[in-house]
Amino acid sequence: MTIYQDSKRIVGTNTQRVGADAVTGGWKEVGRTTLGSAGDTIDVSSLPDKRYYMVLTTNIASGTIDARFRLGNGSVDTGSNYARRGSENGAADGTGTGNDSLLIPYAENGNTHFFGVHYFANKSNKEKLLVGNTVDEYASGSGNQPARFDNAGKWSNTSDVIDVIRNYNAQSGSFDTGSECVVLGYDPDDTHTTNFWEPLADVTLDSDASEISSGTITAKKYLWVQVYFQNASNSDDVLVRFNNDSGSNYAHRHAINYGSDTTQTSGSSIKLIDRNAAADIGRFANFFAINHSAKEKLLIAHGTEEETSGANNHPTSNECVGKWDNESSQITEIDCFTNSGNIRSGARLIVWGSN
Amino acid sequence: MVWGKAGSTTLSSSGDDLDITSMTANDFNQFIVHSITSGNMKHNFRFDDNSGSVYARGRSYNGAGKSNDSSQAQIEYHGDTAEDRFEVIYGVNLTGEEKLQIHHCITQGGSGSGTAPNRSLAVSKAVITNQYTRVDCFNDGAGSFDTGSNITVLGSDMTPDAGVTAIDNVQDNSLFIEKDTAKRYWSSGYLPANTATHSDDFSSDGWTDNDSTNMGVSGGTFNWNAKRDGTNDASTYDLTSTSANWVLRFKLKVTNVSSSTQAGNGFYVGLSDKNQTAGQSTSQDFIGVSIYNDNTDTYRTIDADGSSLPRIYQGDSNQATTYNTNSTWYYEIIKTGSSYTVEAFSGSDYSTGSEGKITGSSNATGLRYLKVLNDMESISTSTNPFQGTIDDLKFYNNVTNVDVVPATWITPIDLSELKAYYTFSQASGDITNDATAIGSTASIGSGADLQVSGATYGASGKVGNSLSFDGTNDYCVAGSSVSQFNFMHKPDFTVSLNVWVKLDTVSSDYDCIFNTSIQTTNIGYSVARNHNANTFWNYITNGSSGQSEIGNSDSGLADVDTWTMLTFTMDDANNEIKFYKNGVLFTTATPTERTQSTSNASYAGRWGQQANGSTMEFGGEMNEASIWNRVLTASEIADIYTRNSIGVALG
Repeated sequence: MTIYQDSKRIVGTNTQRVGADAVTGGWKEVGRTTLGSAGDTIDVSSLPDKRYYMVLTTNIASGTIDARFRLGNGSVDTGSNYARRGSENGAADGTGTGNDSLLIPYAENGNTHFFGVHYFANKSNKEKLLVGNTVDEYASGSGNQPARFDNAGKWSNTSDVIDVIRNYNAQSGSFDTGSECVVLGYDPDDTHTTNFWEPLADVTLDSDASEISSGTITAKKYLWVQVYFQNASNSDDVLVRFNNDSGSNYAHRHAINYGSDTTQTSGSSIKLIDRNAAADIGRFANFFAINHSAKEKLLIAHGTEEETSGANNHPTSNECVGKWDNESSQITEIDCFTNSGNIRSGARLIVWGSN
Repeated sequence: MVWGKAGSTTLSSSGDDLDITSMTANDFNQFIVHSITSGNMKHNFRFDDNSGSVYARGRSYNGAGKSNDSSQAQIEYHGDTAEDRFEVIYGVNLTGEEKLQIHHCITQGGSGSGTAPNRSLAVSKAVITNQYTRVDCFNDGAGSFDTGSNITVLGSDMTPDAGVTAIDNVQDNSLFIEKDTAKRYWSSGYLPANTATHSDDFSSDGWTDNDSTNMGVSGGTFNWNAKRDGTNDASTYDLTSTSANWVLRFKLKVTNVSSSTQAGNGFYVGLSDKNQTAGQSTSQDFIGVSIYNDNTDTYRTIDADGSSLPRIYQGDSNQATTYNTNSTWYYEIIKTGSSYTVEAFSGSDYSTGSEGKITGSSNATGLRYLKVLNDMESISTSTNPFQGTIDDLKFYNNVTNVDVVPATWITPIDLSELKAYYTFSQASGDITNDATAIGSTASIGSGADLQVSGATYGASGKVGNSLSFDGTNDYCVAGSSVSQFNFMHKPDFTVSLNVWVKLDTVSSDYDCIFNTSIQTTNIGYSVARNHNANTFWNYITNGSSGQSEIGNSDSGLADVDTWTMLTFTMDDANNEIKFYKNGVLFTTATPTERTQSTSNASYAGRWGQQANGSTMEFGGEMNEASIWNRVLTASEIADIYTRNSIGVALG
């Protein structure tokens, strides 16, 4: 009902006057399989044809597991039609050709869990390409740093689109109950308005502050976070902490400028960006997290910073996986800060999530 | 706020530019790029087409250490190789800050699983101030990006996350104060927008299936598997009731069809009075379409009045089309009483790329179920089915079209520098210059009133009545002053002329609309239609050095027997002339000459005939003309068109 003031006077916004279509075409859930009991295979089938897939995997290990992908159309391809390249913990790349699957990570220690975020390019007459990352809890507790995997791979099929994704275990253990594979799809001609990622927090600092906090957010199983800020003074690392927990409950593995990994255990935060930066230098981090209440929270993060302003200075890279050793609560607050000095006003933190 | 598509481009032919030239600015972006190789190629990126040395990056290739480039003209970090590439980039795009990106990329390596892929990680930045609204992914390698290459940018700040229906219950002559733009609008009648009675994006399953293996909702779409298996594979959604008139729209995508697909496989989509238990051979009332795969793919009107459905190739009328794997069509079924139409479009706007509208007739009643069902004829089971999805289904009840026509709002027009305004609506006597009467303080006054010679009053115009010219000797002229329109050709001129015209025919001569001179030998301004190609002149002359003639290469500026609003702007400062048709910019041109004169025009301003009164008569009608001593903006011209289109005059 239109609200009138003074008979025929209406006060409103441009959007109210002319109307607006809902935003279309973000990542939409197109398939999901969650294990109700332990098993070795998580198939997500009958996938609609989308140009791109974003695949979220949670593999909870019962014993030793070796998580992999197989793909197919109609049926899963178990032939030697896969090739891969990847790095574990920043070490030199390993490669595989003529494989019967795409290796994600290998859980060296049993009874842990890991979390993966992978993207697929899916064009029927082209090889299917994969790129993504996985974090492995490695061993329970903040006294053990997580492991990280950078993955790239391809399925050599050039006649079909992917309509089934299999996440399966090739080791003696099994995927435990609750292990899950969620497939999101995006296609350029999508017109849907049902995004998987729901906005949970959007914070912009209006004055310098010691941290930028999401405030209390709705707990979601999957989180996607982006943060940008500048330091108000010369300062050190960019850190993240959950639910105001400043105890020694964090561990991380970190590499700067694609160098060797450094690790921290029993820390009071996770380091997203490791750098001594001058004041007013822009820093940007993007991370995903799996947020099971009964499991350690695992984080895959990438960050960069200007290093020094201007195009004559190349930015720095930061790769990180981390964990928060809390197995009783879900993340309901995210705080980003530096270990010295304030964050400039204008900093922005956005949090997306979904179950 | 929601993640959504800020822009996307898919190449329809091979090329070196995979660009999104206009996208919504967002603070955070995710870029997804899938480039398909045709020879050696690179991924280079620029923002806002900025080729300055404003980029820097660091990269690791196949796990090696970081290599850096700074002060570059583009972000370049992939070698010149013939490999398909897939890249995901996270970016931050804040006004006033350096733009930072984090890249993840795989390149194919050699084809086949015998060669490992390559991978790159990178960070980059662009030292630009404003938020970018354009991204260029370009190749400067020897090869090119092949057909089907795609770049997509998602943005984090897209709004609105839910659609906002335009206000559609406004009283006439209401004032709308738009608080976020500080503008005011008046309404003058409206057509309410039609909203869908039922929308289904299949993110959840409200359908009931008789055989969910072949027909049903899964994975965010309705999935159909059209094979003849001798069983009923119907699915329905209960609308509970429908009116005599309705519209059904849906997106159909083919995911599996090939030369080996069983000929004749197909299925039906429509409304039935019976639920999913009633298959093709069961008596029912039904109106819809059949989607039919055969040597000649077709869609057909299909209906039944209390009988079994005809087979998929036996509808009232049919239209040939094409179903290939990945074909996407948008179907619209419109039922109006006992008639209905079916039309398929390639565009999601349900107006572009029509394959053809076909019609059917049915007295079906009691239609309440949205229904998708197979042709279940019991002939040999097809082993190679015809498969695909339905998505974005919308059902509109009790309407005969889905045209979304929001309330029409009229924007007040800035009348500054309005010199003359003629409605051409008078019933007799002079056509008065009404600029002062509607509020202009710059009017050239009653001296510019038009004396009518021969033209006929009282024709039905776009706004009120119009003046009709016979194309032989009719005209009207602005008194005898040759100086009052000098602002149209003097040095530093800026001028706009706006007029609605309705041409009778394409004559064999030029049709003068308004002029104060004749070509090269006079001084003044002229707008005329060129008989050669239904194009327009717009020129000034200075009596000696020739004319500046623009627009001879632009066809289609006015249509015969159709009211068309023409606007001509000439901007001396920017050396630019623009033609607008029906409120939309048609073409921009640079004057070939624009030598002005400080002398008086050669003739008094004349409408409908060459200024010297000898020839080039206009045949047709004129209405709502205005002459301005400034360049109207595109927005102003659109506003004039909007108000005139609904019968509201300038003043």
